[in-house]
Amino acid sequence: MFDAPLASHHRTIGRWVAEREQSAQRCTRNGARQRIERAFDVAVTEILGPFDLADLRVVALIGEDDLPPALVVVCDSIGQIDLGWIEKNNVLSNTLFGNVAPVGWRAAAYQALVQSLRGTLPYIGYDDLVEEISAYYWDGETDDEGARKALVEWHGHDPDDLDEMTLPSQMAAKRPDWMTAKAAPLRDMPAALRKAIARLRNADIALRASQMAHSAWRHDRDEVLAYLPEYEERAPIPPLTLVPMDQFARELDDVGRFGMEQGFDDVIGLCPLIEPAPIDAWLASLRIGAEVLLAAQDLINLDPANSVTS
Amino acid sequence: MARASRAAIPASSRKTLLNWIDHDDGDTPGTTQPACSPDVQALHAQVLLSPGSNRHGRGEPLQPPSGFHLAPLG
Repeated sequence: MFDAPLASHHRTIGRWVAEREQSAQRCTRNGARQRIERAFDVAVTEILGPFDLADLRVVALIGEDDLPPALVVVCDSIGQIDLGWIEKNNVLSNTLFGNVAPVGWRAAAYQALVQSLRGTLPYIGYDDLVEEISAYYWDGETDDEGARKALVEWHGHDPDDLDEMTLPSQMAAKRPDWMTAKAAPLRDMPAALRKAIARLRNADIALRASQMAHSAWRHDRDEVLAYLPEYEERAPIPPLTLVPMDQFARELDDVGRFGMEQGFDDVIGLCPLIEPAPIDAWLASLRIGAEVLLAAQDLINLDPANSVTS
Repeated sequence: MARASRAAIPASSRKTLLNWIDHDDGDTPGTTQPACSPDVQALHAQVLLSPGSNRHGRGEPLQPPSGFHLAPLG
């Protein structure tokens, strides 16, 4: 039997559990600890359970020195978010996996994801990738001429032998059509797709509007480092990406290498629990963010070109 | 007749959740030391005696055993 008085995070979350249960039932100290953990776990799983777009985990930190306990939302998934029908290959999928949706629909869905997931998932977008690659290889330049100059002057490459090196225009040209095409107007989409995109956008608007002090999605790097100083050693790079691995494996490998070796910056949100602990407000904000993730997941699973209800 | 046996570690006490949260100073029967036999208690008493009063009359500093040839520290 491992026994010790309840730690600060058990006490803080325990008060919330006791208030909900209103029970005079007696238990051992270990039983009390288990009741607290189970009740909190059930409340979190009810909110985060219904989606598998990414593995999110909630951790209660004890808080050391003068810090109060805190709740952290961590992303355990690494790599490209599966974009389903949006990134379906145009050549084979017509015969193997059914019809491919028009590129305008796919572009609209992709843009909605890129614009709406920023508050809830830690990911590298295409612009972030260009910025990182530019900082690595092109000395911050973003046009071919500037990049060529940086490769020669900073990296010592032979000016006549730059064929092996990727230039900004070559990188941009690798983007598949659904990343560059104009989004189709809503009126040209099937109702199900229109609704799915609207739901995602509205969920994101609701999350932005909530901006609660006790948000589960609030991320302050200094605060994270105060609780988790070991994150100083990690790569300041998020673990997920919305850039397709098929086209950009080399660039993503380059940018992600440090993260693969030292760990990514996978903390999505950190909320200190100052008494009276705002657990209900924190859970409410977790639910608002989870709605964004659920809407994104439904959009990715929709496949409007093969949907009967379209 | 069998002697009445006493559990070495008493059963954990039971309280309400709020009592565990607000009134747990950690000093509960579950964390007290188990009872020792008289032999073990005598051994503990011997170990805890002050260095100057042990049966060999040796005080600080401890003398190295003969045949122990480590150079003095420092």
